[in-house]
Amino acid sequence: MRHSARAFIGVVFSAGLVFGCAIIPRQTGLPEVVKTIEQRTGVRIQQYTGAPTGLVAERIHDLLREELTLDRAVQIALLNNRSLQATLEALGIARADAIQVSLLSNPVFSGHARVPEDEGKTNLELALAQSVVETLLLPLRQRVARAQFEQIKLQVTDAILRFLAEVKTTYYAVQATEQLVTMRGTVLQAAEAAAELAQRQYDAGNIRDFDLATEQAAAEEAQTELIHAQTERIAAREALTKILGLSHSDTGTWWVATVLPALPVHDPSVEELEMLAMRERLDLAAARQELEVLQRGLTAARFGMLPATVAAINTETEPDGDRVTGPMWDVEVPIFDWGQARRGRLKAQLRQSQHRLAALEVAVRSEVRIASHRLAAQRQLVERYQDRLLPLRRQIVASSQRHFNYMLIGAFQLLQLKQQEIAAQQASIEALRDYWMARAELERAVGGRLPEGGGS
Amino acid sequence: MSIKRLILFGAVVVVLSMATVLAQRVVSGQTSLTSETVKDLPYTPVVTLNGSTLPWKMVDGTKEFHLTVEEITWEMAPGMVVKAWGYNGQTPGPTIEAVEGDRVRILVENKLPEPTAVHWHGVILPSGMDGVAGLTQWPIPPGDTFKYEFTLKQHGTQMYHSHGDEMVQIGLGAMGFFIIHPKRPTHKIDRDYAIFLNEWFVQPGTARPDPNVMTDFNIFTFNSRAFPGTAPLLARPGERVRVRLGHVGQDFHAIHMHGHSFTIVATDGGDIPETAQWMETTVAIGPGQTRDYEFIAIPGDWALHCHLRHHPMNAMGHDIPNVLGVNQAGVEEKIQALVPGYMAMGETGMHEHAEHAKHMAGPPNTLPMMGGQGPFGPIGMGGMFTVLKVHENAPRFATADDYTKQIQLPDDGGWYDNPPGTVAESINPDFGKQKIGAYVCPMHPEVRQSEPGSCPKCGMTLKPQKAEPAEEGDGNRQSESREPMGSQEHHEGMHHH
Repeated sequence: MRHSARAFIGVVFSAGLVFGCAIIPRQTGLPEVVKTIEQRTGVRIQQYTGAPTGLVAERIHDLLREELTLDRAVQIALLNNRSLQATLEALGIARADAIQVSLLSNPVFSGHARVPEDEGKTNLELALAQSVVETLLLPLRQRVARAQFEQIKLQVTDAILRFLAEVKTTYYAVQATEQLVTMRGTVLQAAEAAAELAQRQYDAGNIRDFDLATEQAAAEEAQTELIHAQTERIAAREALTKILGLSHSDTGTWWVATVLPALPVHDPSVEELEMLAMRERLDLAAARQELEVLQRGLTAARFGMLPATVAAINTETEPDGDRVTGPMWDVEVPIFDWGQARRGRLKAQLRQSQHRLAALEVAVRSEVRIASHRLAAQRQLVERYQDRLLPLRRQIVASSQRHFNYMLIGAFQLLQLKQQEIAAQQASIEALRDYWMARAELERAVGGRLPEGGGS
Repeated sequence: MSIKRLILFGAVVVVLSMATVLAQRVVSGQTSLTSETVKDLPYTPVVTLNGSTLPWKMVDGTKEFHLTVEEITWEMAPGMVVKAWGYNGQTPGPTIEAVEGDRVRILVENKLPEPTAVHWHGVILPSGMDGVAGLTQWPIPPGDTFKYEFTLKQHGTQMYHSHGDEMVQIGLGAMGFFIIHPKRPTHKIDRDYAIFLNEWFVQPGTARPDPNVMTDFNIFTFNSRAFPGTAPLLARPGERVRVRLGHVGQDFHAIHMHGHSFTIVATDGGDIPETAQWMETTVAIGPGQTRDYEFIAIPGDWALHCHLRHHPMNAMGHDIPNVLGVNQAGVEEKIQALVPGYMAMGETGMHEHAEHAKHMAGPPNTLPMMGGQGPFGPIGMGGMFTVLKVHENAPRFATADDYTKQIQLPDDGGWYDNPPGTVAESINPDFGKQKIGAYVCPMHPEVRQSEPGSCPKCGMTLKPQKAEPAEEGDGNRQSESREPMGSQEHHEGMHHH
């Protein structure tokens, strides 16, 4: 009897140890996340603990030394954005949670010491109890934990992709504002030249005071437009500085190319993109994973029907000095709670998740279609500006120059038409910026990467 | 109508059709009577400058003319062709010449897209031949031909013009001279010129005259030609010259001829009795009027132009901010940074424009506001301007055709050779002989070189800039300020001369 009890305890404990050690996630999950991100975006992320090391600072310093290209901006953001690092820590938390669930509850040691009032030895009772059913169910719980961890990994990866899209959008905004400031500067130059000419005409006694004031007002308006553009530029630069995790001292040091990239040759079709999103979207994958988690949970809950059973070894020293040792069982009698509520909850959760997954699929498809149509519309705008409106505006200026040459129109009209050309250029730049922003948004919407030839 | 007459008519139509084709091909040319056919005429044929005389055939004792009214391409001056409406490929239409007492038959074929009618302006005729659509006849529908026939009971300078949708049809050039020579001329005229006045609005850069404009015209023409596209009047000293002016436009004109006092001998109402004739140097002429003046030619090159200041001028902007006297140095560079082709102009007046137009592009199909090159530099005129050239060796010609073969533009036929001491000149003995310090671009002062040439930036001819006189010290120092264009043009003219 004693031997059999010992053997029983030995089996329970060693099984618990084996399962507990073998099934907890060995890795933090980071390499997989890194791999996915690299596959989808071509950039590597790094995680570091604590404050950025000197190595990181040096790397960032290197990256900032030359023109801050989009690639460099992404690299810096991935290295240096502390919010992103915070997101990555979710992996560590998830892993810890998974380990926690995989551990067997510690055995419970209990002891009673009872002193007889009359002669006799102290009655000493010691017991070591371990929940049996929990131990048996441990593999099931671990499967659930693992599924949950997978889900967190997917969610973290998805969050990084969203973050990358935001970096790109912020970057394009900077490029556009740089260009717009230059442009507003050119308009100001035109308006100032016109105002100066008007001043001289006025001084020469040639034009009315309100003609002069009109040109001066136009120059002032151009000045205010420039101030607005400069403010936008500062805000855009500040947004990029923030997302790159740079400090105030770095703000003035970096510079970007002031010309937005040209339109790519073509954009992928919306059908292609919808299919891609269904396959690639990580929030969808995470939602599917949640389903898996719940299904496993339900399986586990079915076994949870087993009445809670505690196996224990109990030893007692009687007052008379005899010592008795033997196993002990505590078995729950499942009369009232036989797990039906928990299972019911899990079933409902499972159905809820199924609905949520279906709804998310619908939402993702819609999101992709909207992003795709927005991209197409922006492309159309850019093309109309670049291929139609701008050539027309340039033609108007060239033609009005010819009219000016023959003294058919005056300098103010010529300069006004030039300003309209510049305004069209501005609209064209804004359209191109919006195209690239829409493209970053579309990349995110399909899971980080557009089909072949569609990369930015 | 006899068979013979029909055949004859057919032959005339063929000839005239060919003539029309020819006239359309050579827009400013003409088809006319030959020296052969006119030698027996009892009058000196009129030369319609840049135009022609309408041929006719005698058919059963009637002079038969054929006019086709249609859209034509018409060169107003080299560099500007418009879509005008004219007769037989011309505007004004070919001049009808006949003699008092003649019976004339005029076949008018309408090739316009709308109905028309031809009014014989000032001619005494039966009411039903007066050519007013709706009032005196049915309008001539497109594709139809109407016959007008009447006997000429008067002589004088009359006109013909459309009297159906006049606003459009006359506005686009449908008019011409109808000159009736006296049966017995009182005196011989050596040269007889006809000049039809007209105003147009052709938006710069376009080719179709806008008939809706009431007074804001921008092209003013002699025989639908604008200077420097106008032909000169030629004469030999002492010749008696007649000039006939006709006008059915919207504006008044004051035609001034230099160097002569001329006599107004006739109006559209007929000859003025000698005792009532008056002398003038400028003849005012309103819409619907004609004026004939005569003079004895005095040697020289004499300007003949409308004296309304913007009439001897081609299209220019009238509402551009005035830049006269405005120094644009410094501002010009700023504007050029934006609009590279920008050039400050008008600072010292518009004379420089005659130079600009040579190297700066204007709108297509648009004449510079002024042009023409004379023996002393740019003439700087446009529109209603031409030259009366009274030279000893002026060519003689029997017909307008001969005239056209010999003369096209004002500098053809050479310039008057002024006797010594009869040309206004500088009181500066060094005028035209100044030492050239450098050649500079008037628009880009930084472009300067020792040899003549053109500016690499704008292609403008570099202007010679005189060196400072040596006695004033540093001989290499050159004036920094831009010289007035006028003086530069003058000594360039001298070199050219």
